[in-house]
Amino acid sequence: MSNACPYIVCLWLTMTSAVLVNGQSAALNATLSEAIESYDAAMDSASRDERLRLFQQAELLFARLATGPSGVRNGNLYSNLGNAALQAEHLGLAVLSYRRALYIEPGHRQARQNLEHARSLLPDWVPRAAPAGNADTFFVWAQQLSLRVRWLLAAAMFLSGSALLAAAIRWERLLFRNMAVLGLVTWMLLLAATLWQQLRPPLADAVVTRSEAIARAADATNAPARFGEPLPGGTEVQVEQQRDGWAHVRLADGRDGWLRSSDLGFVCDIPKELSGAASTQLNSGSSAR
Amino acid sequence: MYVPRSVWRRQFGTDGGPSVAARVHDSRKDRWNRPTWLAPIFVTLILAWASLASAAEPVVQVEADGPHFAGIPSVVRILVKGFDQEPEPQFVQPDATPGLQVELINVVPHVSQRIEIFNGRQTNYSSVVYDFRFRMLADKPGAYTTGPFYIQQGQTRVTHQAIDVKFEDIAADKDTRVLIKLPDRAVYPGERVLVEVQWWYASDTDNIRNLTVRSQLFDQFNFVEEKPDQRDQLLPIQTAKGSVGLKAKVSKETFRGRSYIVLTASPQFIPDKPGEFNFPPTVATMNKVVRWRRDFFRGKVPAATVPTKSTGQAVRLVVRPYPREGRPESFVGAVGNGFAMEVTADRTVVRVGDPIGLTVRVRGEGRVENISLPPLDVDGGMSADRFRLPAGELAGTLEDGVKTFPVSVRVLDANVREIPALAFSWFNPNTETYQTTHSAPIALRVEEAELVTAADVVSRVATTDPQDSPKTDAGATDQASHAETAPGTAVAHSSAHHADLSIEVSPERLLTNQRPRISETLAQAACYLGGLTLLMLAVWDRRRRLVDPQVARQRQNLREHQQRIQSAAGLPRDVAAKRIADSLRAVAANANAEQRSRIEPLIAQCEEIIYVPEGGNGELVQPEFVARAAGLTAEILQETA
Repeated sequence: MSNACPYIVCLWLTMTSAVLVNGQSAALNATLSEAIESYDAAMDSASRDERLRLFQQAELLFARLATGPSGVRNGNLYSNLGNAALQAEHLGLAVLSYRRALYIEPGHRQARQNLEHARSLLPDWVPRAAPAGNADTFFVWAQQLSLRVRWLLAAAMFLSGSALLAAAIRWERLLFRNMAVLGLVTWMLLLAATLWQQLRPPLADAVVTRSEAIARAADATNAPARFGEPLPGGTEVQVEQQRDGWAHVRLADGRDGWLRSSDLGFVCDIPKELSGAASTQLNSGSSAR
Repeated sequence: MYVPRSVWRRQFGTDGGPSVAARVHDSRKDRWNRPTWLAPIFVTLILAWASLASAAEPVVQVEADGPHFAGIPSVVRILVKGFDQEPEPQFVQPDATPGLQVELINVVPHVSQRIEIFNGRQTNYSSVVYDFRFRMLADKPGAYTTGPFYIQQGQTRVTHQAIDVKFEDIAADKDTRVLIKLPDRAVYPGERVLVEVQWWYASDTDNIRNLTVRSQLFDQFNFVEEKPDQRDQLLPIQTAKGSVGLKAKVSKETFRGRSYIVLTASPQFIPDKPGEFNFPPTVATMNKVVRWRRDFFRGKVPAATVPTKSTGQAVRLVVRPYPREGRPESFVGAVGNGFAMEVTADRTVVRVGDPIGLTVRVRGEGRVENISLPPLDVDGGMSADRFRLPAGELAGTLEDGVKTFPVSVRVLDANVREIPALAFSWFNPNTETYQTTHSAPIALRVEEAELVTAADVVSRVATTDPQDSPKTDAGATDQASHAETAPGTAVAHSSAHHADLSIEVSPERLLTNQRPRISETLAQAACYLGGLTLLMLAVWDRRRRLVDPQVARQRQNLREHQQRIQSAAGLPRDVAAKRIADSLRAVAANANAEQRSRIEPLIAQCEEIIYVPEGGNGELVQPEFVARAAGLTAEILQETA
């Protein structure tokens, strides 16, 4: 009997973990269903207030999926979150979510399209993110594919190129050699594009998530305002320094200022703050009604 | 007492102080009092140095000739030759040295051009020397190390190692006093605090050159800028950001029986955070003329100066945090006195949901430019249940001392009859109490909204572009979002980029973590390993096929004989010897002379065994013998490769 104890414990642990995984998956599915229902209900609602409330609810639920304990890292999910935030009139969170969707899945068509739309909603004086550089333009074809697909494709191209090269060596056929060169060049381009994308992550890219944030000349509440107008939610900035709850940011046109760190969301950081910010906005929206 | 402005400007000017020896010395040796005719010579020498310099590598040189004195700014120069004329090189500020300020004053490029005509061929040479000038200021005497210095132009970067600078002490001047007077009471963040800076002098002010007053108070806080008039007297103050001239009054005072001329400046500063600040004594430094001479026009010019200083008292300032007790909700950091708030609305007859543009104006005695608008729903203001209010901190614009905040609110309840009085609170540092003012309420007439359902808008859009946007698109969003607004309310934004606001509903496509899976990693590894294996196989095959067929046959033969010899180990002596002898004879055909000389004795031994009359008697061949024969065959096989 004593010999069977380890097996029983292992079996029990396996079954327990399976039940837990299934339970977590069921909870995620339930939250997702609720979010989608809220979004659909918002789309069908005739009342503006009701619609806003439902979009905010959908936003909160999508945010919970993306940043909750499960922390699903999925471009489609962030794109949905961006759509809900955009419709809930939370432009800052919408821009941040689209940026995160593109960070996870650079080729996400919908996120890219909606990010352009969200940027166009900002006031004219707000500098937009810099256009793509030469390297980005050169590798634009690769941006249509996700990183995972690109890595796999690169490996497959290497295999096929190597096979063709081996065939060219074995049978000394010019056709094989040319095709092998083509395959290996494609492999190298894919590899370079993927590495280019991965080696320069937007570590310091951030988005103003509050509806308005006053940029100050120094990291103090009483410091004078840096610009004539507050930075609207959705303004994309580069964070150069963080100190005592303040962040030194630089806009796309080179101007700089200090913002409260709580007013910002980082693109490559996918923290719990988003859900916090979303819930804060949801609460303020609810209380406003 | 009035002192002519030109005299004070000349005597107490802020244009940087010379370094003068602690002892009396001749001003001709003083770098800063050097005759003006030396300047062109100096520049010419620099240009000559530049033109002769090799253009290959930029060279950097630091000039920090002393003596340097604590409390008196010294100028240090970094000369860089070998850079291009464009763009202007950038200086990388060295790491801060405690107690030493290093500040870049300016950059002067000295450009030289040379034309050579040789055998009718003209060649132009051009070079530039960049002259970086710094102001160095040490608080206390002692040796300081600053640097290394980096100067960069494009991708080119030159470095000069850290330099050691010694700052000497200065003798105290008994004719001079310096005072800083702070308020006796504690102050509060955001308050304008008046400070009095006084410099007293009991002798002839004509003897004073390069007066500078320095206190850490000026570095700690931001002073309210006040631009002096042309006619104002100035008291030079050294701060971490550079030298500034404070507007000052001149008076005559008596202290301990001595008569002084007193220069008093009254700047205001604004503490931005609470705390207790202890500042070391204020120091005034100057150069005192001890000998005069006559110039070419019989004018009186200093012939010798001596640096002196005067030290004041240490000062202490307590900046208290705002009291928590009695703090109104509408207090958002305004400090001052006599604030007033006025609110106007752009419309008073509205439907539910319509925006109302409010203009809130705040004025008062304090830092009006930095005040924010408090939340509108506090202290009896607009209820969040009845109005939709803007979220977050609101910024306004300042004009003629009035801060104006444009605010857009929406009425949510048809029973609303007025915009209630809004509250604005501030802290009065004199009475140390919070005070609140209210705006006047504004009467409203609110009617029920006329609903335009979003379903109509969505269905219209859906028929326009059903494929790309199954639920709605951005146009629909904007219109739907503002569907209930009044006809006169324009859509806030127009976009050239249409959004696709359909959402993904598949759990498989939403809840899958888009991280590389193990299977994908394995697949990639398999691809790369498979490709490399194929390449290696192909290369091996090619090498194999490139071998001469005759050599290959020889090698095959040798391998077969090697195996035959090795297999003889288990046979009777005579049979084994015959087999080994046959194989060795065949192997000898591929062997060189030396190897053949070693094979022949082996064959002879084999024959001895074979031709022994009684035969092998069933005995096995010796393994050492077999091994020798097999080893020899292997050696020949290896040489055939």
